[in-house]
Amino acid sequence: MTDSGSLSQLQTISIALQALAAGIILVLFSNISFHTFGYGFGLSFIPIFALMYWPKNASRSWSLFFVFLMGVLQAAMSFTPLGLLAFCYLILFVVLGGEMTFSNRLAPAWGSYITCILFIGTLMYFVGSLVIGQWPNLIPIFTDAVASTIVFPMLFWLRKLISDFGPESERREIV
Amino acid sequence: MSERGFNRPQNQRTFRRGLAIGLIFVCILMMLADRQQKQVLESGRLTPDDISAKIMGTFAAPVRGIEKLFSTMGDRARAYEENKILKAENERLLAFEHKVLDLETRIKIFEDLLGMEPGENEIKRVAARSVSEVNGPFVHSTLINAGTNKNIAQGHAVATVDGLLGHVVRVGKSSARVLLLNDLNSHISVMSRRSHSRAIMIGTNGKRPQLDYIAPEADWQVGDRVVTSGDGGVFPSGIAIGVVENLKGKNLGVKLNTQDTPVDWVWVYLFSPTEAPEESVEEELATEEANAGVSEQNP
Repeated sequence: MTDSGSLSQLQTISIALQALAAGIILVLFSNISFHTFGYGFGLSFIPIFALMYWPKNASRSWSLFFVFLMGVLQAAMSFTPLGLLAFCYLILFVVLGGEMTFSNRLAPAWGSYITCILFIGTLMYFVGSLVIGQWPNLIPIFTDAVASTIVFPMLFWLRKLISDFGPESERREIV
Repeated sequence: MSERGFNRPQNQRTFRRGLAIGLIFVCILMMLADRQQKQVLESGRLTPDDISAKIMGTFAAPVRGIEKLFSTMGDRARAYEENKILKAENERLLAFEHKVLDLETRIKIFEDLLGMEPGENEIKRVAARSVSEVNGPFVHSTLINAGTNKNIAQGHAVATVDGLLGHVVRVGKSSARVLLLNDLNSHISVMSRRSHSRAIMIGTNGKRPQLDYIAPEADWQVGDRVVTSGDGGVFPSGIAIGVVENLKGKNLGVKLNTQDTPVDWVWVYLFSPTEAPEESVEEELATEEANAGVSEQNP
């Protein structure tokens, strides 16, 4: 009984770690800047994808800590005020509560993603203004949000591809 | 079998709530500390910078390659017309080359007359690669893959082939964080190449930094080329920055030479700021007089 209990707890921590790994990969991609047609932009909102599809059966306590780590890592890498992104991600994670199920169809999932980006963008804008002492520049928030929205179908398709490779039992859990 | 202690769902929920509140509280503390620019957080950022410089160097390389492919596409299409223009420009510059050579000879003569060491004014510079550029809502910075291992220090000017990009604000062992000219915290002493009028160029977090602290008699005009003034001995003088243009209202802005171009390779100027004299001339004279007085009393 004890063994199976601790094993299941280890499994939930391991699932949370897998989600963190996926989040870190997205954080790395979020730090790449692009210059096309005279405009510079980034994909700073794509780690939200990891939060949206955080596994339901991951350890909740460890997940909170890992989400915090993800935010701190992204802030440290992008030179954003430390704590700001972790704060926004934690709030979003608490709001989503791991209970929301996002549709397996592209259009509704895309809509939910845009809502999450709007939520994080607004939170970042107002909390960020308190941190830097003036209103942040809205244009990069907007361009990054648009760029992150555009790449969503690719991330969605990749996630579906990965989940299709898994065994039938896991596939049901992920979907 | 009923669950006890921590395994009770109620206790687990309370723990999770406490953890969430605690972590949010830590985030608020970090933001406050960051606003106060605490050194604790500064040192904490160095390791991620070093690591991300290595990782982002690998990640960003293909992106930079694709960007170059796109940016040179238009150049290739205009190759014939540009070749004609370049030939004409080359002919025009040949005359300048003779002038420059003549001026170099004259400078050499003056340097010999003044007893200056050859190359006394040359500033060493090292090449580095920009691995991660951030043009976000809060900060405009770039990470370069060279640090103390290449003698880079805080305050060193960083430039591309187009002109000044920014200055180093933090140095790790193998990476350095460069604050770009349009960042809110960037304040650079500049001058007009035409009139030699001085001003302070302040970043606005937007595309165009603003010229401020302009003296009433200063002569600034739209279209003036802006270069570093070298005042205060922080930056070497004469590094190109951009061109003056009108902003909204009566403010003057600067269209940066490095704006909207992908930053790949950069130069870091290993220019050491001029240090203030340790002892003033008056103090030195007073010490000498006091010493002379003592020696007269005790022959």
